[in-house]
Amino acid sequence: MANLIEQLKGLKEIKPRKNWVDAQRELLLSQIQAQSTKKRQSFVINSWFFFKSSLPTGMVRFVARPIGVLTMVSLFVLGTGMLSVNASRLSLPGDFLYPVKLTSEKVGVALTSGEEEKANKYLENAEERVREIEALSVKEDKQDEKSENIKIAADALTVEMKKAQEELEKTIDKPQQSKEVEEAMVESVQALDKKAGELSDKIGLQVEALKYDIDITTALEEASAEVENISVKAIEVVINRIDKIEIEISEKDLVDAIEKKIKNAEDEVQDVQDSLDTAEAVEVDETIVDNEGSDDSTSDETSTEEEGEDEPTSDETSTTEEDTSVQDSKDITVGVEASLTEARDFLNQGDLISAIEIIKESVSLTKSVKDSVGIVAEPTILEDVLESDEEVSSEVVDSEAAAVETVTEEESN
Amino acid sequence: MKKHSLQEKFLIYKVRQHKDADAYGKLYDYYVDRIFRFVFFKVGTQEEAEDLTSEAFLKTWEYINKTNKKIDNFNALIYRVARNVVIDYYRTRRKDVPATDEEQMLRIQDQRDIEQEVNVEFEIKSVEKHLTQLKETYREVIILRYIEEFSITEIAEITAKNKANVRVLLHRGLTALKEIAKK
Repeated sequence: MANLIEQLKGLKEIKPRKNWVDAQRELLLSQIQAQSTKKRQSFVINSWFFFKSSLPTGMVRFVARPIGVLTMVSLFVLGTGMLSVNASRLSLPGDFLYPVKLTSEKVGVALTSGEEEKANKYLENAEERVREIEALSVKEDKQDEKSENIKIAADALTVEMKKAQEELEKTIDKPQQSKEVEEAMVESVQALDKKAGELSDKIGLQVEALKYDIDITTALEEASAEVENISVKAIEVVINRIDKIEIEISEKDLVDAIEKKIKNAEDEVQDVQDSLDTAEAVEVDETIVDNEGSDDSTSDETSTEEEGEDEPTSDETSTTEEDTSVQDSKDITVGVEASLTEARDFLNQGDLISAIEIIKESVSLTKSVKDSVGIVAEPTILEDVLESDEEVSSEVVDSEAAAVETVTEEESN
Repeated sequence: MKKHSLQEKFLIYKVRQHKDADAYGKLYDYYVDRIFRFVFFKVGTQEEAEDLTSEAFLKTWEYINKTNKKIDNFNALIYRVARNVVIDYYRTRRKDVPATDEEQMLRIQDQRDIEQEVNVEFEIKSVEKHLTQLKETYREVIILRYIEEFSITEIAEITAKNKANVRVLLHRGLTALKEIAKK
């Protein structure tokens, strides 16, 4: 058998004639040369083809192709995601990429661990909203769209602040942790308080700049109130944590911070009082105008008296109602002022918790007064209303005069 | 050039993409002897083997440039094409007058460049003779296995049979060849 195989191997010696091989080669090449073109394809296709042909089929189908596809898909998803997120960073409300920005912010919050860190993140987002408002207010745009977009940002700002508060709320009841963690937490909350302070100032500036639009200023005032809340809450958290665990923290800093809060609250109350005073003064004016109107109508014929009397009476009652509500509000603000003084006393005695409790209460009371009386509105608006009222009353007077004339004519007939 | 080597793949790539005749020339250089031998054992005459070999190379070129299928193994492809060319040849076989035996003998001497010992010469001659007496299906696998030294897998690929089938054919072929040699 081996011999046979050896002999078979010997058959390898059988070869074609050398001259035939050469001649045939030339013939073959000349035959195929006619078909050959030097067509060049793109480098990518060429390299893919070469890459493909250098691998076994199974390799291409089961390994290389899936890898290629996955790479492309992930490049697309991550790449475009990253690109658009980057591009969206400077987008403003109303922009095409603005939702991308909001989503990436949400993702940022979701990827943050720790309530206080989350709250900080919300505050950063809020800062971004303020930046947007700043950018929008100087942007060349149609007034309607501009106002609408600013309003969107302002509302979003309030939402961010509320969420930050929720997060902070959670930290208050958190069980005690190791000293390092607690210290880090307090530090983080203090940073948050600082941010809130800056934010409050910025919002104040915007309120001033955008006061021509009542909707926006109202929204901004609301946001501002939330910022104030969060700042108070931050102090509360700090005090709470310090109470639970002995943390080396500069007492003076804390006292200063609370002192500042009291000051802010007092300023706020003062503002409310001022606007209450203005509102009162305006109302007095209003009554005078109304009285003048009724004087005109009553000075003429007795037949018109019945009609003329109705309006002033209702006016009078409403004025009294407003008067009482203004009076109530004033009483509350006085009470708030008193309790703030009390807070200051507590602070001086070193009872930080009581002080912060009072501040919290005062801030919320002031806010409710503001809301109920609706004195956030600028006095100018009230004047506008007043002017239109005057027009109405003068028209009434005119028609009444005409009526009087016809009556007298009939009587003379 | 090693079988299925990267170089071979690169040559095929060049043939496919650029219809590069020079690249195909290199493939021809590498395979022409083996394909000729393969065909020669099938048809028995040098003249026919030459014609069919050139036809096989031309058809392979056309196939490479026409198909969209991936060419994994040029080796298997060219043998398969050569095999089909021979089958076609037998189908439409012309009963033309073959070259005379004398002519043929002369050519064979030329072609084989025989400068070997008479003994070896005699052995080869006798094995060759025995091979021609063997059934075609046996002969094919024996040539591929022992002369061209292909693996069972490769033979299965070339002959479009499964591996077990090829093994059985090889075994039977060798037994049959021994029987013939004994006579």
